[in-house]
Amino acid sequence: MNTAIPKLDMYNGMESNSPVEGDMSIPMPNNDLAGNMEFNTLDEPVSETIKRDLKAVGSKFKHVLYPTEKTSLLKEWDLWGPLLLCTFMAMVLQGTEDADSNDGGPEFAEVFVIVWVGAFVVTLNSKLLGGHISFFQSVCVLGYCLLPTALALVACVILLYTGQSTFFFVLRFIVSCVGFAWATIASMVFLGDSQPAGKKGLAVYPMFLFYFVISWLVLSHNPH
Amino acid sequence: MDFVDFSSPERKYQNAPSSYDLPDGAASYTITPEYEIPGSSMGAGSPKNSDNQPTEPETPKSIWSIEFYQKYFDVNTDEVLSRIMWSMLPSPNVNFLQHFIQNKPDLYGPFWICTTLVFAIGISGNIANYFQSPADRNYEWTYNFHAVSLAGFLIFLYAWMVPVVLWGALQWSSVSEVKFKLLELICVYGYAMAIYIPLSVLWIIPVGWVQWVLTFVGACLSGLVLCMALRPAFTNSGYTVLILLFVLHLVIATCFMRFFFHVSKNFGPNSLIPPAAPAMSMGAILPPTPRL
Repeated sequence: MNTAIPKLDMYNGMESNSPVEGDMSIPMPNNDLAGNMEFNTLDEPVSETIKRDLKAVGSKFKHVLYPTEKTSLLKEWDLWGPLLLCTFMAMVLQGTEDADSNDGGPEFAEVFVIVWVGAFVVTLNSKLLGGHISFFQSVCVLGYCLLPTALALVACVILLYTGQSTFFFVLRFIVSCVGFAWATIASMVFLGDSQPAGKKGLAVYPMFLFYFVISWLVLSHNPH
Repeated sequence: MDFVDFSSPERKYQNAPSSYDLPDGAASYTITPEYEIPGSSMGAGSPKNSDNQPTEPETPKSIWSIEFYQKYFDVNTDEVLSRIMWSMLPSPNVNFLQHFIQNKPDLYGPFWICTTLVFAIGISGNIANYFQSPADRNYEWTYNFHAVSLAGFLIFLYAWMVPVVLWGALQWSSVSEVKFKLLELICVYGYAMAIYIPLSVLWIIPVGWVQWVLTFVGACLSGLVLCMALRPAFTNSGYTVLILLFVLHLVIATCFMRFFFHVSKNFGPNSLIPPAAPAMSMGAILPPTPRL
């Protein structure tokens, strides 16, 4: 008993002395490395938050254009990029404003519905085929892979304002074909592995169709 | 086969869950009929059945879960491709429904074939319209996006409602002893639409009689497959309904062709085109010459 009490005293003494140093030294590097994200978002200005989110979206765009690394798109999914792309494409692709002169183009809402319902149906299809992927991961990838077709749309609009001849039509055709191929290949890289072996073709075909239809909208966009 | 089964029952049991992790329940649906029917030798079959049978009642999938519907999409790429191929090739020895569909009807084919057909008709109908639009400088050709919604309405109405009506009629009529399942009928009708996808590309050719020949040949090919598949249900009652279904198949093909691809007013005064073409070439050639 006599030996135990001094040990307890010693132990208490250690606790009373060390926490001041320990707390000061150990949490500080934590705050600098990873804690910043979690603890300081309340204090930081809104511009910082938006900048950080935009940076995440931008890095995912980069991964779509150069599809080698899969984790950032699949693990940290978000729907901001798809929303931005879809809104942009719908705004550019929509027909004329006055309802009388119907130029045959799709309305804003129709493009919007085609993109989101299309992504939803393609994802549902891969889930039904037995793919190992969560719902929003797949929607995120399909939405981000719209980027090549959106870039093709920008190029097509520029070409449209340059000239209307057959030569420019051929250029627009090539551009939208490249965008279509790029989008399909990128989405295959990201989502192809999630399917069982014999069903890969069945899962890839709807993606092919999805980007094919959107590329057709891009190619046939011709406001007067 | 028997030797393999006897030697390694445990190995197979261990391998199966690891190779097919998620579609395990779906895989068991496909394997059981194949083993039960040909492998009627009880020695090899009984231990496997005892393993498989408890798994099926254990997990009655909820109607609201995706797993419940996975059994309707349990097909491989090769199976879908062979089904599409045989839906276009009528052969007297092959009953399309019995040989390809009945053991495992799927909904993948009908849905995606119809969706593809909707967009194929929407897109190539616009291209055909572009080629037929008068080559006049003042005429501005505009593409019609809304052809897609009309095509979608027509195609899904035909390919999904006709099987439902037919199934209902067969169900409540007392004449036929062969009762098809609704899923089988939808599957057969969905695959019968597959031939119109290549046709919708070929319909772009702006020549009236070529379009008619294509329509007739295509609709006859898939219509024959369809009628031969459905024939067992009508052996007693005569083939009136079967002929009606065949005619309906022809009519729907004609509808596609006339609505979306028809050579418009130019078809009647077809003889006007040859005079118009020299006039165009004259107009194209003449203006530069004075300038030169």
